Formats: sequence, structure tokens, C-alpha cells
Amino acid sequence: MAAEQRMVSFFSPADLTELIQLYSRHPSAVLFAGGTWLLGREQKKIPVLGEQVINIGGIDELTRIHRTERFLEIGAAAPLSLLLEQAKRVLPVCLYRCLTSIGTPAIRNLAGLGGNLSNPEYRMDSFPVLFALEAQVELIGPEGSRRLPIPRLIDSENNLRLKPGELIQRILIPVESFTEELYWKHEHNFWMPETHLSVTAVARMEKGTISEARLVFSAFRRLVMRHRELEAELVGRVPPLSQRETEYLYQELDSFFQAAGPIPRELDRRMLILKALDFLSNLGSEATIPVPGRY
Amino acid sequence: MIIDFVLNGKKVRLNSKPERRLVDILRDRYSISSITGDCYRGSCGNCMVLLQGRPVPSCLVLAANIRNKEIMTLEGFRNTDEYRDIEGGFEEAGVKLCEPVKPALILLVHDLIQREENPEQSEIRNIFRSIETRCGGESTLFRAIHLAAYFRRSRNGS
Amino acid sequence: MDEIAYRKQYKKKLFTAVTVRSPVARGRLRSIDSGSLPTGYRLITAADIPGKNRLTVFQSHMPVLAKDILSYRGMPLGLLVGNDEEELSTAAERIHIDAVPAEPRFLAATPGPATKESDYRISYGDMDFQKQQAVQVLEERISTPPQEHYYPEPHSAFALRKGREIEVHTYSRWPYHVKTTVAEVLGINPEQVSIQIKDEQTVLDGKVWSSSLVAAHAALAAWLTGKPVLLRYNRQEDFLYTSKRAPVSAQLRTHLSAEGYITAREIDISCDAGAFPLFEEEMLERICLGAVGQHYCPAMNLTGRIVTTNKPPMNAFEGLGTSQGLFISEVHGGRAAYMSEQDPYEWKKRHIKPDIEEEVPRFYREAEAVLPALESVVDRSDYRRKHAAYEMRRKRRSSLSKTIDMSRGIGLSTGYQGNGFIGRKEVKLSKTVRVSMDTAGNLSISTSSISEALQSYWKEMAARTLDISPEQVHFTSPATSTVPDTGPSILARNLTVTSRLLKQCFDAIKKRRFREALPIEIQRSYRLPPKHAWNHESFEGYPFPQSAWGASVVEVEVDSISFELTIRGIWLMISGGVVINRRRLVSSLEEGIRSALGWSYHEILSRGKAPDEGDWHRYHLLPPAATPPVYIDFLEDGNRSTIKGISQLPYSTIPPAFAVAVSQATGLDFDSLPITSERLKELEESS
Repeated sequence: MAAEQRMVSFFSPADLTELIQLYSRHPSAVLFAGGTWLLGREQKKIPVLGEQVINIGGIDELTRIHRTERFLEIGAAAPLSLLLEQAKRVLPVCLYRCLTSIGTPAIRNLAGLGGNLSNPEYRMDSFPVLFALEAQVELIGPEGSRRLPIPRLIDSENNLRLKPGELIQRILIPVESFTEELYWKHEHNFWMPETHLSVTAVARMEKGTISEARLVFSAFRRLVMRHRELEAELVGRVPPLSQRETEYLYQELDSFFQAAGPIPRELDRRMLILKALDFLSNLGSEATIPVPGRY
Repeated sequence: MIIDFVLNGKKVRLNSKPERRLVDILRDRYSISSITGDCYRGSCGNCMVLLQGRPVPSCLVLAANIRNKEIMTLEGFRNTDEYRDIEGGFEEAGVKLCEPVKPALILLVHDLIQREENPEQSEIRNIFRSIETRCGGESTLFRAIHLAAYFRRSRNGS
Repeated sequence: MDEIAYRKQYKKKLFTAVTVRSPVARGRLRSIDSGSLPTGYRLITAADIPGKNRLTVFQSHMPVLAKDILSYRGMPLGLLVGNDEEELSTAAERIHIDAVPAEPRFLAATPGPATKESDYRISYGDMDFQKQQAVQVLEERISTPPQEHYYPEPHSAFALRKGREIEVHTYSRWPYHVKTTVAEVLGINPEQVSIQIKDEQTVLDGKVWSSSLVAAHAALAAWLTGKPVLLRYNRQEDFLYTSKRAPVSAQLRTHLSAEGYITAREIDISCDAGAFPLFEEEMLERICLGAVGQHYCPAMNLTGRIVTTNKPPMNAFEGLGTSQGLFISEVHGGRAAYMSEQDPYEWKKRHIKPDIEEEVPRFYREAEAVLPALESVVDRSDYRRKHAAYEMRRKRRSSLSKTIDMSRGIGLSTGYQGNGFIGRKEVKLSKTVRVSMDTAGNLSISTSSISEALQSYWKEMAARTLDISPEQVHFTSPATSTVPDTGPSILARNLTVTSRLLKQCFDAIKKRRFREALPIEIQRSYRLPPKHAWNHESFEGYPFPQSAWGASVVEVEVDSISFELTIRGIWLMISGGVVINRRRLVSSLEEGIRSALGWSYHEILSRGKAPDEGDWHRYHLLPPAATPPVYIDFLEDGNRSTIKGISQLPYSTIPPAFAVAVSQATGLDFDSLPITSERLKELEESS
């Protein structure tokens, strides 16, 4: 309880090279970029951030947004608002919708995607979307840089799989086009994680047939689920889905959520499933959603 | 830590602990009274300033983050033509704002009409997410923002 | 409060006070140990209070600083004073409080040690006979949650000792209450205390007595240290430890005839006043009258009581209890109409203006004034057609979760706003205004109201009556040393009582200005009109000096997959005297609608305990522009010169209309607010 005079070493490296050197010397230092979470949870006048803090917000290499032929490359500390404005035309619709649901417009002028992914309380906003888009993260550290597919960024304990002194430099989103994209998030407010549910879906159609579909679900700000077998089964189907197909998909997803989740409440499972079925059934048509037999 | 930055158009040099919040620095060292440290979590908007021209809650900005940056508070913004567009819109619509929410609303409106010269309702609605207040009736606020955008367009000759 | 201006003026001499608070919700305080403090710093406790350690509202009290009994978490125990904020915060963290905790009591439903004054009864009609006329009984419990004020600025006060006198600056709706509280706490004569009121624009009714506590703390610190002292709560402190809208719970039993008429009603009401029931008499009476409602009932037995719990003391919110009471009676009425299988509009109309021979109590007869607003709102919103269509759809489905589309509902509600305190309390309060005209014909008005809107109204009224230019009308600065006691500025008293007194002053000056030499000074005090009589026990007479009337319709849509709620439309029709500045009035009603909707479906505050840090994180206001377009209109009520307070009407009519609408959309019944999508899911699961 006693408040002693706190001595904080606060580093502000000028560029990426200096940052990597500093961070490898102080691998337990707190990285401070947008800082919206670090400061928002510490509602004291002088926040307690840690004994060593490295300020990475001003590093040019971490704030660039760049598009190559294969990837949209987003600097981990690029403010979300910058991303929403500069890359509006090239951002996948589901990611655009996801980003506009994070924080407030003023907070998005500070917060970045790297911070969102690094934070176990926040990451269920962008993580499932980046998972569905099959994005990669580029990590940089004392041993150089490497790339990880998004799902491999986090271990089973929900910790980042980073080596000491390693940090997220960029997020790479493959340049692909989809026929339809969905991002839907439901939560009463951020501080009620038990109310959080989200569905991200992308699909490609060829001649009226589903040629690819990806469905990623998140729940309670801690679970992320993707049913790859079911995605494979969707390929070749022709929307609108028949009643039988819908019933089958409903049962399949319901068992998946009960097993993989667990998502104990039927109404929560139902919400996720129906949002996904609604998406699939409407692919490439104006058809209305068929009601599964049991409902 | 010595930090050089630009405050309301003037170069200033600050000696501060790097982990101090910008809102407290501006109030305690520079007597900026338009803002207050209220919720300290970035949700109420009462500490809104422009950082590099964009509105941010200054309670979520550290001293270390403002090195060589430009900060504009409502005090500095009041001297600009851009402010007069917004003031005109608010006066014409009869908006009477509660003092604490003023900097947020004015700077957010400025940011919006800077980017979108004829903002849509949904974009206007969006900016209100950055403030927390019981003050202000919707119809007059919407009208004020449309009028501010109109004054801005007229002044820019578009 | 302009903290920076005080810092500039007093520099290092300015002391800041930090409130030291109880760590437990209930218990006994053994000791407070500050350890070693920096030179000049001081910890002030109850033992240091030179006068009486109490804050009094009417006949009720609470300690200014807890001495031994701890009644709620965060109850002020001491004040730590020093001139460096950082050092102060370090010193505050070092304070050791030794408290013996006891099991706290939180449940409002548990009857508490109600005082005699706080028991309330209404009883009329032949209950046994009327019960026999009924063929069905509707019995239910309905409750309303607390609501945070979320003032534009958290509580604050500045105090400066000047020898044997003290000056206090604060926000308050009752400056003279601050004055008497400070005088009592310091043990000095009220003449030695001067209060300056700061303008906060939207003050909300909570700062009617709660500012007096903060002001007394600042004054105590300034008096004992001899330093200028600033005391400012941060937002979290304000949220956790200051008063909220009082939660209410009611058990209702309504007897209905074969034709669907109410024949008798039994109501039992508990209001959770938190640790110290202050203002409880007026609040309880307003809650109970609201619960009686506007639907005529030939026989009634109502009991109401105040319950004390280990939460921070509860308080007035806009409406001072009427909103809670009307929510209960309107939601219950909606259900009674549904049970009688009648169109809610027809049912309501028949109960507001019953077609019967026997004499109807005046309380109900006055309510007939709401009918024009009711009819108008029903027309404008196309209520009857929509209600019938949504009802057909509701009957076709057995459960919300068995449909995959949007489901809609529409709700109707009527209400009133009683201006001024109820009967005898208005007489007890001081309300004096002073107006003087100098030799140049300039008019000077002294009242404690600082509302800019009201001042411009009075300016125009004076200019019109005296045929002078509005520029010649001035207001004395709002300090207790210069303005007379106008009483608390709540319940639209300034609009009604003060306006009437000022008009009398202007008329008197008009008569005398050419007969007598200037300057002339006129002072007028309020007297209750002789015909105004109210007896609640026998239910005779009418409680309010004046009333305004309103009717609302709310239309909602519920997504049957996600249970997300969308409001499709809101209509509010008001019959409330002269409309002075329509645009400003609409704007302030829109603010009210937003807060009323926040209470209805967005602002979540746990009711089974005192607010904690989790509540603080979860609690957010509905952002401006989150609501759909609102259609507001005003009806002439025949009296063109009367100005009335109407700002509470959204709080009293919107929440019940909303709840009834969601009930129709979902087929679920609600016994409380807020109705969130989570709540809908829970109810759907259990149904």
C-alpha cells in the first residue's frame, strides 16, 4: 500500500535498430505505443507502467502503411484512424467494420493494431478477423525478423509466442478479394466480456457456387473458434442453402460450439450460428434465410 | 526529461517526468483551463486536444509522446477561422454546451468537417461516441454541426 | 470550478483537501492513523469539528465525518489537507484506518427501521366491497434501479477563511442550505458565512443537498488550517461515493372487474434511501403518488416506507421519485389492460376519465388534463394501427427465439410533473425575491437562481411589464450575501414560485414608480394559496401547487437472433403552459429523453450492493445521437400566462412506454429496468 518514490526508466528510441538493441537489453520492459489500454486501466494521475518503459509510438518503421502486390502491410503502431482513412479503399470490409467498432474515434487516433493484438483483453476484436483473412504478423528481434500466421501468435494459455526482445513490427494482410464479407460483434459494453460474441465470415463465389468460405467465431473475449472441416464441406454448395443443408450446418456448428467452446448457453450458440447461416444463405442472392426445422 | 513541443503555435520546452499525463501537464504547467482530467480513461472527452491536428484524449497521452509534436488546445484553436465556423454553427443553432464538454465537441466537429466537407448523419453520430455527457439535445447538436460544415464550405469557397 | 484560477491567485498557499473514506460498508471505526505527515499537512477528523457534526435536510441528519459508526463504503472519515498534490496523494495512501467490519445490509426489500415520518399511507374507498366486484386479480412486483447523475463536473468546493468569516464557492441547487450547513458545522453564526454559487448549466437535482457536504468539508479544512482550501472529487470518487437516484420496489395487487375496470388496488412500496434517508419525506410521497398513478381506482390501500441500507445516501434525481412511481403504475396499468384483453389506449382513457356517477377524488380529476396530450400522441404516432398489427404478430408466435426476424412493439404512457414541493413543505421553505429600481430606471433582481434561460425569461417579463429595455434589467451576483433565500432550485420551483413572486414585484413597481420617488425596493415572499389543501391519508385535495402533463409513445424493434434492441421512434406530447424558447426547450427535453432511455436500457448499476469499481467500468451514458428522431410537440393548455416546469416529463413517461413496447415485441414481462439484450436473453431462456 505504501507509495514509495517510484523510479521509472523511460526510453524513447529514435529508430527501429535502437529499439531492438534497447529491448534486447531490457526484455521485461513495457512497450508503450498508443498506450490507450495501459493508461486507461490506470486511472491514477501518475500511472504506474513498470520499472522500464520503452516508448515505441514515434518510430517511423512501426507506423507505416504500405501495399505491395501480395500484402497490405500495416505498421503495428499505426493509429487505427490513419489506417481507416488511408487504406479505406483497400481494407477488407470485415476488417474495416471491425476497426470502427474499436474504442472511440478519438481513441483510434492513438491506438494501433499491434497493441490490440498484444492485449489479451482487447485482441478478440481484431484477432478473429485477421484469422479469417489469414493474415500474418512480422516479428522483429535481436535474431532478425520472422513471420507467423495469426493463429500461431498466441499459445494455448493465451500468451503471445514471442521470444525475449521480440516485438510485432507489421501485420501483413494478403491482398485477396471476396464476394461477401461479414463482421458482426455483439456486446453490451467492453467491460462485460461475458456478453461478447463475434462472427467474421468471408466467402468467394464462382458461377453461383461457393469456392471458398471461412468462418471465425469469438466468444467472451477469450475464445476463438474456426471449423475448418465445415469450411471445406461448404465448398461446392450452391446458395441459397436448402432446409436440409441449413439444418445440417446448424447441428454441426452447435456440436462444435458445445465441444470446442464451451459455449454453454443455447441462445449464445444460436446467435453465432444464425448470423453465420444468414451470411451463407444470402451469398450471391437476395434470398431470405430458411428457418431450420427445429425453429 | 527535457521535451520540446509546440503548444498553440508556440515552441515550448518542458522539463517533466516522461510518464506524466498530457492533461495534467497542460493544466499545471501551462494553465490550460479548457480541459480537465476527469475520467482518466479516455472516455469522457473532457481533456480533448489536437495532437498533430487530430483530436485525442490528453489523459491517454504521456509527456514522452509529445516530443517535437504540435498540440493545440481550445485556447489556441479559438484564434482560428476554423473555430469561427464552428462557433457560428453552434450560435446559429442555439446550442448551449456545458463547459466541460466544449473542447471535445468543438475539436471533434473540426476534425470531422476538415475530412468531410458535407458529413453524413452517421459520421456525425460517430463523433459523439468520444464524449460522455448528459448535456445537449440531439436536434440542436445535429443542426449546429451541419451549419458549421456549411460555414466551412462557404469560407473555403466550395 | 476553475481550479487553475484559484492556483494562480493563491499559488503555494492554496491547500488541497482529500477525503479519507471508510474502507467498509458497515462497521465501527477504531482509529485513523496518518503516520508522520509533511510539515504543515493535517488530518482532520470528527473530533476536530468545532460545531455540530451533522448535515440536516428538513428533519433528517447525517454525520459530516464519521465518528465511530461506519454506514457505507466511502463514508467520509477525515480530510487530509496539504499544498502539494503528489505529496498529498502519497500521504493519503499511508493513512491506516482500523475498522471492525460488520455484515452489510444491501437488500432494499428487507424492511428497515423506518422512522415514523417516513411511513406513508393512502387509504380510501370501501375495499371489501370493491374487491367483491372483481373477477380477476393482477399481482406483481415492479422495481426501478438506481441511476448515476453523471454531473457535468464532479462535486467540488473552495473555501477561504477571512478572520471570523468564511467564504465558500460551490455548485448547488440550494445555496442557503450550504450556508446553514457550514455555519452549523463550524459552530458560527450564519451571517459569518457567505456562499457563491457557480453556474454549471445542467446541475441535475442531486446537488440539492450533496454539495452542502462537500462545501462543509472544504469550509472545515479552511477554518481549521486558515488556508484557502480546494476540494475536488475525481469522477470515479464521485461515481462510487455520492448519491444516486433512489431505487424503489413495489408489490402491487390490482382487482379487475369483468369489464376490465380496476375496482381496488393494494400497493406496498419500499424506497432504498441508502445509509441516511435525507429528503425522504418528499421523495417517498412523490413515489407513492406516482405509483397511485392516473388510472382511477375506487378503493386503495397504499403503504410506503423508506428503507436504510449500507449504500451511499440516495437522493433526488430529476423527478424526485415521481419517475419511479409512474414507472410502476404505468407498467402495471399496461399489464392490466393486456389482461383485460383491451386496447391499452381505450383502457387508459376509460380509467383517466371514468364514466361513473360517484364522486372521483380530485387527484384523478386533475389527471383528466392529460387527455389532449394522450389523444394527440396516439394520432401522431399512428399508435392504434401499429399496436393492433404488432399484437396480431405477437399472438401468432409462441416465443421470440422461434422466429428469425425483427419483432416490433409499441408502448404508450402518460404522466405528470408536479411543480413545487408538496403542500406543507412548500410553506416551510423560504422563498423571497427582491427587486429594486434605481433613479435611472434600471431594475435589479435578486434571486438565487442562476439559470441563464430563466434569467432571460424574467428579463423579458420585467421589460414587458415595466416598459423598459431588457438591457436595463440586471441580476445581482448569486451569493448568499447579496440575494435573499429563494429555497432549493428544484421541482421547477424557480419557474413557478419564483416567476410568480417576481411578477408580483414587477407589478408593484409598475404601480408605484410614477407615484413615488425612485429608488423603490420590493420584496415578496410566497404564501400558499388558501384553496390549496392536501390530505394524503384521506386522499382529499391536490398535492402540487401546479402540474404539467405529458404523454409518450415509444416504438421498438428487437432482433430475434441477437436480442438487440433498436428504438424506431419516440413521440412526446406536452401540455405544460407557455412555451418561451421552443428550440431550447426541445433541446432540454431531448437531453431528458436520452437520460431516461439510458436508465431504461443502457446504464447498468448493480442494485444488490453499493457501486464498486466494476460498476464504474461498466457504467456508460447513452451517447448523444444514439436515439432516433424524436417528435416533440406542445399543446396549449388554455392558460396563456402560466409557465410550468416540464423537464421531468421524459423521465416519467418514456421508461414505462419503452418497457411496455419491449413487452409487446418479445412477449416477455419485465419487472424492472434496465432492459438490456442480456436481460432479454435470460428471460427468454427461463420462459
